[in-house]
Amino acid sequence: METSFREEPGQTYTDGMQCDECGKPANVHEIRVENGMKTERHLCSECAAKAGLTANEPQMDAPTNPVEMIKQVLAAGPEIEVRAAPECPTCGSTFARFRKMALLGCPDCYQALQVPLQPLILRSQAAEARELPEHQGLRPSNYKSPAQPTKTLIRLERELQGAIHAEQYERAADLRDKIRKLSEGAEPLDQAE
Amino acid sequence: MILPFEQHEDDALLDVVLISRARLARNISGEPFVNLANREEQLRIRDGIASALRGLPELGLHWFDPETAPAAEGQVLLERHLISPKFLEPGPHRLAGYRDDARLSVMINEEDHLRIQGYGLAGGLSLAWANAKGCERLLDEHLNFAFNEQLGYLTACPTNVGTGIRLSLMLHLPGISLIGGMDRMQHAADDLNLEMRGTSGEGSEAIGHLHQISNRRTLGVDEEDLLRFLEDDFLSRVVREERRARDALLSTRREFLDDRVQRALAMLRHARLLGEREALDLLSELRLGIAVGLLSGIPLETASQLMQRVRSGHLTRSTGCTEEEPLRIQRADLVRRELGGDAQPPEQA
Repeated sequence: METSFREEPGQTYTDGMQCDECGKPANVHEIRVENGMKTERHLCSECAAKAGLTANEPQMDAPTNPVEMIKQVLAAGPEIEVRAAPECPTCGSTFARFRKMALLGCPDCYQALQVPLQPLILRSQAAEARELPEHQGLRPSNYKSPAQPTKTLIRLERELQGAIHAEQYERAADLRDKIRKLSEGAEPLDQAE
Repeated sequence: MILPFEQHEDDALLDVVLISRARLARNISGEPFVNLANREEQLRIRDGIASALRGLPELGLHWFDPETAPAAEGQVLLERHLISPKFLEPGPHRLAGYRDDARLSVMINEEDHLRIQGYGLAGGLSLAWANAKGCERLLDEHLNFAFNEQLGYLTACPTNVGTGIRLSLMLHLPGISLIGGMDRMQHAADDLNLEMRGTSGEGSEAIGHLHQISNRRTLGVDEEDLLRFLEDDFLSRVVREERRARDALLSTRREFLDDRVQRALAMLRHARLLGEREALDLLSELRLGIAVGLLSGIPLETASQLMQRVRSGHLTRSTGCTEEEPLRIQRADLVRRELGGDAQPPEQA
């Protein structure tokens, strides 16, 4: 059984969640997914400490390399990890801030907040499409495309996050298997890291 | 690279299209977006982009710093559509560059670090795009723009992500408007995923039957495909409908149309005080009258230019007036002079 919980630094996450124990603003959010059932707990720092919950991986260690990120998802085992209220590791922007301002804080926010952002981008770009279309058009002249397996992994990972967000767990499991298969095939790439 | 500023303008759509614009949004990689940047970061971003632009004298840019330049100058640039209303709001350190012939402008630290705007006149969307692209490709060699494989150019607002392009057309649609067809137009625009709005952009109302139309979609569609779609699938249809509406009015309600046009001309030729809104509405009717052949002797171009010259910023620049009442007098004087109206009243002569 895997759980995921995460501490929100300071006042940045202000979605109005209250601690389940004492009613103070909650900044530790635990989400469990077991056999397709989702349960949530929201606690303040003190109650979280009492309950023996601490934030999992500190922000600095969060991998930015897509291959590493995918490995981490795979390492999470059969239960799927859900992370509540992500925050951009570069600029500290949260989805709550984006909702208030309709603006992101820095280019890295697109990666950090991709799960909640994706449906919004889809809606604003093409109402009928189910998946985000890939960019077409001008590119920076010095831009180098990532190798094909990495590109596919990035796409599958994004689809996986979307499926989890939409609570389509069967589809998520399929995608996870595909990712696993592909990353095994892409061994030389992994070793190169 | 040769920039197409001198290219010949196609004027076949002059009766309907006033301005064509192509805007590109870009941000510097590794920097926070403008809304999160502190003063120091704003300055660094601004000066970095400005220095790259200053190294490209072929662009022929003049500079406008909203912190130091007189407010009237900003108003003129706004009325020429070279900068946005947002650019003039108090905020971060900004800078704009523009060509005097209004074929190109750049805004630094508006919503994105850089917005490049290329312009063409009637039906000049291709030219507008060529101008914007030319400038962008030159800068691309000197600046590192935030970009990723899937999402393209990364912008502060996700509605611009991808190509970062906004193609827009300023259209004069009095015919469709007078036969009550604007709602239908609005639906047609929605169906094609196009945004339709008033004269000064988002949320503004349509004064003088002027409407701005632009694309919504920026991700997954190549700039050239979008351009062709706007020109072939949309613009040609709107132009046809507007002309058809004007013809229908002329053949079935000639007196009604002629009456409106002649009244507008009489007002413009004799008024002693003219507000901005009133002048624009009257000039719109005048322009319609010229376009359908009810008025001869006044070039279409005169009406189009007056629609810009009667705006408050332009009048303030040409006359030095800043207060409302003297501006109304000056506006009426200008219009009478240009349209062959009666002489100055004796006490002013």
